Amino acid sequence: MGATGNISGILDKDKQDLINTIGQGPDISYRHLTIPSLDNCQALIVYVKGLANTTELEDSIIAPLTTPAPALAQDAQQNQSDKVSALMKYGLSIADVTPSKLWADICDHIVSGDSVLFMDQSDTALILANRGWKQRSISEPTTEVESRGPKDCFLEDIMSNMGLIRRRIRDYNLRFEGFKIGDRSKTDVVIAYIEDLVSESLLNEVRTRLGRIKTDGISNSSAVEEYIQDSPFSIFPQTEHTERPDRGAAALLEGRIVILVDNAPFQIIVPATFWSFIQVPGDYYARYIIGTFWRWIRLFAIFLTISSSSAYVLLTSFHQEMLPTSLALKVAAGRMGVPFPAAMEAFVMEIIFEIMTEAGLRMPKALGQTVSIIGTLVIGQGAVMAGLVGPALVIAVAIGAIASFAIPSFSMSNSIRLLRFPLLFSSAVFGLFGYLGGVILITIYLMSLRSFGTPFYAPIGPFIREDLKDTLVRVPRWQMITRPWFARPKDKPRQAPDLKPKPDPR
Amino acid sequence: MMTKVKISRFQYFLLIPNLLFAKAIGITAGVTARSVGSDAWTSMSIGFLLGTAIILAMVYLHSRFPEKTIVQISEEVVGKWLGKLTGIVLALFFILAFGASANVMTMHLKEYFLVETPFWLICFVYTLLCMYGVFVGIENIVRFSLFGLLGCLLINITMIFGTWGDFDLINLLPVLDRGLSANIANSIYIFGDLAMAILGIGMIYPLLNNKDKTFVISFWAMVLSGILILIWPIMELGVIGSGAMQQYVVVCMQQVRCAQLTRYLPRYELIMVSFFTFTTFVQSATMYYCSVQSFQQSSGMLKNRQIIILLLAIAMFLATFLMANDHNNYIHFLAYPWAQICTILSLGLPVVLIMTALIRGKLKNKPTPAKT
Amino acid sequence: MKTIALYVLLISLPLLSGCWDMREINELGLVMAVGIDKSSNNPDHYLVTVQVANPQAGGSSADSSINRPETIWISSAEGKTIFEAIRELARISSQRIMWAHNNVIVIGESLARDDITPVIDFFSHNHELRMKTWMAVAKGSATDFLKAKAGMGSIPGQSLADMFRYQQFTGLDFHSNLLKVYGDFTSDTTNLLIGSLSLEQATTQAGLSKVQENTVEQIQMDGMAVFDQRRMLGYLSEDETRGLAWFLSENPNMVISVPHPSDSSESVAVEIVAVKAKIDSQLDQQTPSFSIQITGTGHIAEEDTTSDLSINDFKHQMEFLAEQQIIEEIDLGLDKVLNVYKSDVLGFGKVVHSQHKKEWNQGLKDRWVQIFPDVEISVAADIEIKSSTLNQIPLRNYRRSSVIDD
Repeated sequence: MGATGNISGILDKDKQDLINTIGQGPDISYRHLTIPSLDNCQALIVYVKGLANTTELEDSIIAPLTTPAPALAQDAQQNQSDKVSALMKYGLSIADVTPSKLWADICDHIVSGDSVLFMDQSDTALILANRGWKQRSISEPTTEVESRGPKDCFLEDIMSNMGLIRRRIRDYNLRFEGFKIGDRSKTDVVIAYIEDLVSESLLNEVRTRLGRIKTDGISNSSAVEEYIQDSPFSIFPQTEHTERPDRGAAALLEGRIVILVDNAPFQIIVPATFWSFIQVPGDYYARYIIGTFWRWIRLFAIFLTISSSSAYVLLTSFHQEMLPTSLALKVAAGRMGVPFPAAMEAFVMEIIFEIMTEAGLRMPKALGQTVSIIGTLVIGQGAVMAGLVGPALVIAVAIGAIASFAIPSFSMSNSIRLLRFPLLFSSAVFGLFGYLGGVILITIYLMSLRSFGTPFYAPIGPFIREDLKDTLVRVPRWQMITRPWFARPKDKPRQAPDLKPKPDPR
Repeated sequence: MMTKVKISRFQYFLLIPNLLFAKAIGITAGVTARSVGSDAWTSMSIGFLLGTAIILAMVYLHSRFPEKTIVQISEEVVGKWLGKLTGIVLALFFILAFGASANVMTMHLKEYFLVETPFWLICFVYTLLCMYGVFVGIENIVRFSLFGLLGCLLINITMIFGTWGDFDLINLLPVLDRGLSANIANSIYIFGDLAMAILGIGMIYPLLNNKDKTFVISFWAMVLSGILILIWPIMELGVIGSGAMQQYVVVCMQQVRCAQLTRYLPRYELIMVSFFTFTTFVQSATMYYCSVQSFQQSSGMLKNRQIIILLLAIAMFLATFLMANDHNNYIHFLAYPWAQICTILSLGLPVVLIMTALIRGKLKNKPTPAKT
Repeated sequence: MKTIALYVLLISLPLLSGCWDMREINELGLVMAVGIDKSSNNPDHYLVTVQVANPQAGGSSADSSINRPETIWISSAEGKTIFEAIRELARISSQRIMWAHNNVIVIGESLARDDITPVIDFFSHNHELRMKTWMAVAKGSATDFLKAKAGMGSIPGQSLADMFRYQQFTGLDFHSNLLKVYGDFTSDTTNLLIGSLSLEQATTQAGLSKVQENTVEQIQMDGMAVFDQRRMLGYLSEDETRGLAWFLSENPNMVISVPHPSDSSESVAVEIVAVKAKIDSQLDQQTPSFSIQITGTGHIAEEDTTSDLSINDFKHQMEFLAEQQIIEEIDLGLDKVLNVYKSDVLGFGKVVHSQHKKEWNQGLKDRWVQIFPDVEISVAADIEIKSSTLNQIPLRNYRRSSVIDD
């Protein structure tokens, strides 16, 4: 039988209950000791070996307890009944100590990595927060690399992650609000927001959506994402995710909410818009005009990604008149003797490209070289030399491939890459009209999406003039006077209106 | 699914040129040139001025009944049954308007791009596309009108750059060659387009989230539309001449075929048609929406919107296909009786409603808060 | 719901179909030039000759030149209509004929003299063809012209189109692309003026390594062909065409040779740029008269002899002489059009129409064909000589006028 209700206060019984509940595996340590200063009271410390910080346990818990301490003994004598408060006052040199009587509470803490001190004849146990496990140190971000910008990165540990955010925003109003999701995994999920910025309705929406997740376990933040999206079938990601604390902090300052998930180095930001997927912190770290230029390059990259192979098909198979004559002749010359129609050729090459990407992604690093050599030389050049595909197509597919890597968000890039195929098919049937029809469908669809109540395609559709300052262009810092509209922050102005640097009037 | 859809005034401003552009530049210039030759541009301009006046009248009417569509207004002003009849007539009108607008696109494709593809298939696919637009909601169509308007601007700019070298002012002269009366009489052809905007506003206006200054906004939207659209008959006349304009079904495509940006981009119709598709889509999809809306409101079938959309899709498809299966029929239909129907409806409906309302003293009512 | 509908649409659209309009680019024969003649066997039939580019030759230039295939493929077919003849071509062509890249339409003289309507009709209807395609009348059979060499390029059709592009320098061709021709053809009054081509025996020396010279037939631009409503009436000579180019050509940039002010046996070459022509009409007693006013800027490009005139005097005299020269040239052209061909290829009808619409609509329109040969035309020119190209004063003056007097 497991432990429910309150602890009994009888050490042996409690130990037995605990063993029944969390077992006696090799990683769980039951450490008996005697506290000399409390009349040689029998005590038991329970902790998980891989999770608790043993050094701290030894130095700040076991050492003070087992050493006779006059102050403790004196205090305990004066208040016979209350060992717990005496211990908390004089007996322990660890920072975070919480008394608790509830089994559920106690067990949760043990499996989360805290140590729990039981004492005979005491119906209260002490939860000693000495979590500390092996974790990687803060490293550079691997997927969101910036040449100029902070080099730290979220970790798997949610406490450190909260710290990383708190270090950037020392506002008193920064709030972290904890959830436990997963009946079995009991994953910590924390929403971070700035209380006097965030919109109430957004906050409540996030709380409700997180609250209704009933599942056994959350393995990653992407799992949370899937439960809280607005359009669950959609091909597009509707929540942003980042491993950069600076990006998270910037989102908080815009009145958005960051959802931190324990054991996941990627944290979720809501609400998101389509345009936020082409923005990177680097835009703000570079000069504004360069940031703007990059954004346009990325937009162009999106366009190229979805269009390059379709454009090849519709130009070579449908609308040859649009090519300048000399180019038309060149392309025709390249395609001489190619045994397949252009659409088929393009489709096969696109699939091969996807296979190469997939292969390169999961391949052990040492084999990467081989993949690229086989990919470029054998498949690319070889196919052209053998006359199986036209050289122009290889260029088109390669342009599309490179462009897809220029989309900063990997999740968005994947979605967009997948959309190439329907567009390729419809271009192969209706030429330009098929391509445009597909583009209109996708755009209309994007416009109909919402992310936590915010139109996904804002500020372009619906058109929000004041938000344009940070969408297609990145205006200088001193002109970003108000926070973006799309998160509906309570407090709009974010800075003084006259920050344009100018010569000192003296 | 009758969610409260709201559009902003800026979107409304963007929508109006989109409701006019595609068909006006695509077909109307040719139809007008067939009857007044080189006066096509003056005739269209006169029509445009008249149309602006009617649109303003329409906005005035709506400012008295701000939460009501034209169907609901007529139910209130001329009585329930007459109003329902108006609604049905309007629903039919919008179906035909969809056909007229959709065929601008399908004609482009059939005559220039997809010559061998069966015509029914083009119509079918285009109807499906617009159906999806209506399915996801007017809000998104209206949002898309930003791209529509950008498309209008870009196609105008590329067209002007590409054909400027061939522009010959003498083709436009003399002004009012056929006399003022002929110009006014033939300005009805552009009512085929204006009617779409006038009656479309009748259905869209109640969706506005803020109804201040709509008068001014509508006026400037019409000015913008006028500039965007009237540049076409002017350039078409100047470049290909009225004689040639009369010969072609899709005149704007002919114009675009003449455009040439240096010898390296000898033909860029493709790019221009891409821009054109956006605005045509907005026009057609809005017509579709208006038809669904007026059908629902007049018949009282407020549920099952999805099914009504599907059923109307069949009507839309048939209208499009039958109207232009033979493009001569299409052109004749546009010249007669379509232009006349449009003129009567778009001129008559606002005037009759305003007059009746005036007589019955309903105009004096200050705008009442929304009942729904 | 919206999402599922999107997927259904995106996936189902392509499944609907075959691919009706799909034509692979390498299966197309891109027509570079087309020639249309009357058939020599049967006068009712048309003979259509196409010049098709062979992409295998134009493609990778890195290939060695051994076994290099011919760059073009020329073929002819006959038919009762032009369209039929073109379909006939499919019997011998392995590639599907595609017109979109056609540059030039060459019309045989005999066909032009008979009736040009079918040509304009067919090509303006063809959606593939661009309206900026050049049209030309061949002095002879169009077939011969398609087989002849043109310019320097490997594809004669393209070279020919390039030649047309540069005729603003010679004034030998203006507004003879399909767009203008079709516009004039459908206008009430203006008749067609189409450029013409002739063949000359040219001696070419193909590269430095090949010493032997060989003679080939090469296409050259000639004057223009004058039409009445639909038939060709005759040609304008090069000089006459040049005369008309002053006010009909768009942005002409021509060189005139003016007798030297101090020694009329020698010449000065003046390049006239920024030419503007203004045509006005006056109506007295219902007979229109016209005035053509040419303004332009001249640059002295070449001077054959030395003179001792001061630079200002020289310029003034040059201006006067250049104006005279231009007026003479224009008169030459007008004379031929008015007195020989009597066909309004100048667009004067349009001018009267636009300037006197009332009279025009009250009957002048109907009498125009009769009136046109009798109209009075006065020509005036105003040329301002700005400078000598690059040099401050003409080179020949340099020694004498060591004192620059202004």
